[in-house]
This record gives sequence, structure tokens and C-alpha cells, in this order.
Amino acid sequence: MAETVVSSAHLPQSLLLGIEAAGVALLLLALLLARPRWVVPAIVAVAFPAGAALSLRGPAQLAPILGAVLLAAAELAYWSIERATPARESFDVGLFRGVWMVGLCLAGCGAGLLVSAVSDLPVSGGFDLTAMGIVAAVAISFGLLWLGRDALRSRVSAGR
Amino acid sequence: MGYAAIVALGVYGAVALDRIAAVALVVPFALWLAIGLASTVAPELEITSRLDQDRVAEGDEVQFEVEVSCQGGLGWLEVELELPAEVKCDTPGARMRIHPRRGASQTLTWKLRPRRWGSYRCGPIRVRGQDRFGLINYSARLDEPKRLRVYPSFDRLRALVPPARTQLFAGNRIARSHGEGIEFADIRGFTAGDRVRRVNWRATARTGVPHVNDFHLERNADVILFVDSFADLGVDQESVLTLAVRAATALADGYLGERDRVGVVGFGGLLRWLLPGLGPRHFYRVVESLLDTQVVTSYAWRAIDVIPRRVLPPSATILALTPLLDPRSLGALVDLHLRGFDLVVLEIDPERFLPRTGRRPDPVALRLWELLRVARRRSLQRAGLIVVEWPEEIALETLLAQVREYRRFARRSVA
Repeated sequence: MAETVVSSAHLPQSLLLGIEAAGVALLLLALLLARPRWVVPAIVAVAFPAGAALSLRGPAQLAPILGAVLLAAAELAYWSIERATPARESFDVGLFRGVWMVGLCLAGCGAGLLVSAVSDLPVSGGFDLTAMGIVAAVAISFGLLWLGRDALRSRVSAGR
Repeated sequence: MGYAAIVALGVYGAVALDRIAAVALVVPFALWLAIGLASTVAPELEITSRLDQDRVAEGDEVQFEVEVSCQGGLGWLEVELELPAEVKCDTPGARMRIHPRRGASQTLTWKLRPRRWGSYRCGPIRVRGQDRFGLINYSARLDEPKRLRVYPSFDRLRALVPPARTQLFAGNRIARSHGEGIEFADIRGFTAGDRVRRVNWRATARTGVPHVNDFHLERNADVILFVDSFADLGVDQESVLTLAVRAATALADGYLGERDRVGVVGFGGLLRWLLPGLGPRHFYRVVESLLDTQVVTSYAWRAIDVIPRRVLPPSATILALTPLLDPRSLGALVDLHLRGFDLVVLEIDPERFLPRTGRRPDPVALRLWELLRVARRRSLQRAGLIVVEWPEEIALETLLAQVREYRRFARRSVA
């Protein structure tokens, strides 16, 4: 139903380009004014039109590459505006994060291409597939929450 | 949270649009989140802080050490120490960054130098860190500041203003009354009970009647340091009150060294006092009571009767340190004089603490202010008080010499 709504809305190209331009402008402002909280909305504004176009009109193989590029852009944006910039001032931290980011972007690309390949399989839709999709989405959400439970529970105490 | 929102948008968008390509767009973010969260261990930090000394003098160096022990995964940790404005940090930056190693502890040291006397709290300590991937920020604030007491610096005084009257306890001052002592006072006739060693044989031989030497008793005196804290005027770390407390500390040190009893009265918006006492331990009590001297704005009229009688022993000598800015302190000083106390007023010139650069006060207003203070000084002098002005170029030792000279002249004039 959502696809029908979006397709029938005939979203004008100029509107999509406008949203992308606003996202780029927001990202630049976030860099200039050192506002980390603006980075994610800026990335979403840039990703949404492109993502929607790739999803609806294709080619879907470009989606993971776009995702990897956006991830790299977001990470570099955070590094450049985080307070005290340890990634810039500490070579070890910068090197570790740089290597890790490149590796993860490549791995993400590969995983995304795999997902795209799966999506190209001639499997018909239907209620079962949609239900599986919903279950998968909920499972991913809970999975990430479960993984983050320890990391978010920290303890700082003052010794005597 | 931002990346989690992007993943959620992509996943749920894919379900809504029935397009798996939307998931492919956010797979890199999901992978980053999954691996980063799975490999991050919640850090457990134990932080211990200490000062190497809790009592120093102005300008002395003191070290503040923070020991950080980390049991979790942290890429880096930043420790920031909050300091009051009067305590300068000699170490560049009050913020230090370390890479904590799991299971190991590291010690950070800040070199602090207090610029002004007072009681300060060094801290709290703020810590801020990130995991190795920069995914999660941790921050905490440890509200356990360490107390640092900074004593005023002062110059040792070689000569003081001698008190006009002595008390009953033994001391270094020559009393008017006669008895057992060292300073020769008089020759008198022998009375029953006098010791033979005190017989003045020359006078006895000349007169044929036994005569003995009489000596002055050695007694101590009571000195009260009266610090006017109604108003203060100053720039940077120097002010009238700063100078008054330093002078009071020097005077307390001098008089306690002479075995006199010293008490303190902080007369201002907040009334503080310390009963007279003597000895080296009492010096620290005097300094501790002076450390808490501060200007508290109050419009209530204060008279001398709010001070307990035991704080102002009869026949005590009172040294008042005041800028003569508030009429309430003038009234109190006149009242003290009329009650028969031996009072000396050291007037600290507040003009020396006006800012030298930038916007200067209007010259006419400044002149009027100066005339007002001169009028107040003259009114106190007409009432019979000894008021000595303390300008910038004169040291306290020189000022006390002027007071001694003034009192000697005043006694000679009366005689």
C-alpha cells in the first residue's frame, strides 16, 4: 500500500533533489558549527530520496555502495566535530578507526550486495513473505538492543 | 542512537515498501552497530583523587593526583578537573586524555598554585570517554571535591605596637606594677617576706635601713584584631580585604610570638569572632577564622553590643583594619573608643585597588569620595582615636613604626 501511495504520488524530481540539497546543507552546517546531533538527520535527508529511488526504480545493486559511502561520510563528520577530536590528535586511535571503518564499509558493501542478490531471486510476494519481513525487522531491532545492553551499562565509582 | 534510527528507518521502510533494496542501503550501518556493540564491554572505572597537602600558603605549589583504574573497554578517557578562579593550574590545561589499559591504573597529576588565601574546593572531576570505535560516549561527574586551605602569606614583623595595658598572665611585656621580674623599677624599704638576695646593699649602707630592689612584672597583653568586612574593593586577586587579612595574620604572628593573647573579630555583614588565646596552636585557629572572612552584603545596622563580652576583654588593645567605607564600622570604632579600649585604626587606602587601565572613575566623583574619607578620618581623630592612613608605598612594618611614634608623641603632649 505504501508503495502504491509513493508511486502514485509521482514525487517530483525537484522535491527529491531539494531534500537531498537540504541534507547536504545541514551536514555542512553541522561541520561548521560542530553540531553532532545534526549529522544523522542530514544523512537521512541525503539517503531518503536516493534510497527511495533505488528501491523503487533501481538499480538495487547501488544501494549498499551508497550506504557504505554514507556511513563513511557520517563517521568522518563525527570525527571532525567531536570534542577534543581524539581521532585527530592520537595516531593510534585514528589509525584503528580508519582501518576499521574502511574494512567495515567494504564488508557492509558485500553484505548489502548479498542482500540485493537475494532480493533479485524470483520469489513471489504474498502475506507469508511480508510477515517474514516484519518478523525479521523486529528481530533485527531487538538483536541490536540486546547487543547494546552491556555497552550502555557502565559504572564509574570514586575510590577513597 | 542515530545509526540505530537509520537502520530502523531502512528496515521498516523496506517492509512498508516491500523492497529489500532499502535494507541493502542500511546494511553497512547495521553491521557497524552490531560489531561495535558486540565487541564493546561496559567500562568500570574507579577513580581516586587526593591532594598532597591540604594546607598551603599563597603561591605555594600543591599537587592534585587522580588515579584511574579501568576494568572495561575504553578507547580513550578524558579527565577534567574543575578549579576555582583563585587557584591557578600550572600544568597546561585542566583536562588530560589517556588511553586506559584494561586492568591497569594510571595516575594523572596537576600542579596547582593558589593565588589568594581562602578555603577552596578542588573538583569535581569530570570524566568523558568513548569506546574504541567511537560508537558510545560515556561521561560521569564525581562530586567529591577536595578541600584546600590556603593561608595568607605575610612578612615577619620585627616591632609591633606595644599595648597600652597588660593583663594578669605572664608574658614578655613590662607591666607598670612591681613584683618579681627582670627590669629594674624602684628601690623601697625592706618589708617582711622580701628575699635577702633582693637587698640593695649600697642603699642600705648609705641609709642604715634595709632597702630592696623592686622590679617590673612581666605580663602579657590582650590584642584583638578587628577586620572590617562590610565592603571590599579590588581588582584581580588583590583587594582591601585581601590586604587586611594578610596584615591581620602578620600581626597575629607577631603578638603570639610575644606571648600575648590574640583574638579576632570579623565585623561585617557576617559577624565572626575568635576568643583570645595564645600559643602556636592558636595561631592556626586565628588563620582558620580569617580564611572564612568574606564580604556578605547586609543592610542591617550593626553595633558593637552584638559582640559577646568575652571576645573583647577589658583593657585589651584593638587593632582595626578598615577602609572606612561603611558608616557602620565607623560607629563601631567610636563605640569601642568610648568604652575605654586602647584602639588603633589602620586605614587601608582603597584607591590603590582601583583599576589602573580601562575605564577610570570620573575625577570629580573620585575627588568627592576622597574628601568623604578624609572627613570620616578627621571625625574619628577629633573623637580621640588614633587613625593612621596606610597608602600603597608603605609597608606594614613602617606603618606600625608611625603608630608607635604617634602614641609616644601623644603621651608626651598629654604629659
